[in-house]
Amino acid sequence: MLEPLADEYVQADHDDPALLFTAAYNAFSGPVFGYLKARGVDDPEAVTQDVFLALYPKLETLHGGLQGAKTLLFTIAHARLVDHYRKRERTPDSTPYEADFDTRRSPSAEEQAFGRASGLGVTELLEDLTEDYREVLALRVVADLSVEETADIMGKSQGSVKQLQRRALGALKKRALLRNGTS
Amino acid sequence: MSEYTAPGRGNDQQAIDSLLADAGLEGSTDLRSELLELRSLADTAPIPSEAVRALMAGGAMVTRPAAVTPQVPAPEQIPATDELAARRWKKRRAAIAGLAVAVSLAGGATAAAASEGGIPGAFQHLGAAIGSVVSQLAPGAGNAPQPAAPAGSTPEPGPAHQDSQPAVVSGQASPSPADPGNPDGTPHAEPHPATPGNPSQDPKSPSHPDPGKRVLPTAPSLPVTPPEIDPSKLDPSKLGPSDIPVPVPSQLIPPVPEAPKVPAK
Repeated sequence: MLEPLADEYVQADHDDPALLFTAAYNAFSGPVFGYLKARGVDDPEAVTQDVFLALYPKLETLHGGLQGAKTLLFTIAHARLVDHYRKRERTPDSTPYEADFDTRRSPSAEEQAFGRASGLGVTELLEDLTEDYREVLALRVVADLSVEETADIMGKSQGSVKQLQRRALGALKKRALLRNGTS
Repeated sequence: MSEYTAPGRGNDQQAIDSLLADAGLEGSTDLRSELLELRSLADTAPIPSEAVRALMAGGAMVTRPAAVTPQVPAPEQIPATDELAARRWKKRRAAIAGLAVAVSLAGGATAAAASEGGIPGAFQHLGAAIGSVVSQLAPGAGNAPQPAAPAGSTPEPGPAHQDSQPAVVSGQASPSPADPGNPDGTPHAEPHPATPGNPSQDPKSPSHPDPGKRVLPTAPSLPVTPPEIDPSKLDPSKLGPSDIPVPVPSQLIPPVPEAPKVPAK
């Protein structure tokens, strides 16, 4: 088990990149992993490791301590996500048939129970939303970023992000009502 | 297990409530539960890989010496750099090779044009050089006066063919010019005009020594006037009748009888 470092310790010794890197991993590896998982990356765990490996060389010039590392981490993760989607668009889908991924089969009660417990159901809900809606919900809810940080990462104004967030929540509410009514 | 439960952020419900309040959806319990479920995705953190663990500080997490730490991301970056450099070098290499070939061709053409005799002369020199080299490498076939034709590649005609040849070719046998590719006058490459029996010395003679397929020489045309009389100095007015007897027919052809006269009545 990793030992999380206190913010005060990190702020006092932020000149040591190894300490800041350890603190950043302990604090944000979960949100980065959840963000990538919510966005449907094939191997979110490996991409999380890549994101942190890409963070380390930039710690020398990083300002803002742990909070600055958080913004930089999700900027890198967003870029990796864009790369992932572009790569997936270029390569044909050659996934072999697996019964677990067949959407025509109905899940059993056990699968439904464990699936909802592990958060698989909400990712299916997000798949029905548009790209911007999924991105703003993943950054605001899973990554716990502020409106300003979300606007910086998405390249939009804060007003656009608030508007997107409102519409995305409305769309998610409709999906949630539909799913709870049918299941 | 490659994942572990990350330390909780504590104020999940407060964050969701404020988010719903900003959007004007405070009373939506279904949406709140969905958002809490979505937020729980961040509670599971992956176990750091070996490369990430090597960069971390702390005794439990650092498995490699600290001196190695800055070098860990280097192996992941070096192949990309090398691949890019190799790709660029591959593109440049084709252009450099093409340029080198064009420059060498231009230099060769310039040298050939500047040499004595122009480009055909250069080819002649080249053929002569090849012929001399071949003749030196194959001393048994040194009689070939043509520099471009490798003497050792074709079978030499046997003595039986040479015996039957002089009657046919002797009229046209002429000494071939000196071998331009052999200026030093080595004995095996010199022409031998005294031996007309050697078919290889005649450049116009067929290469195949078969007598049945040999081309017969054309007969010299006979002069109309004797060689001692110059036709341009003859005066036609002074020419008298020739002393050569004119053949006279021995049998006279009877004349055609005239039309019979009809007696007058």
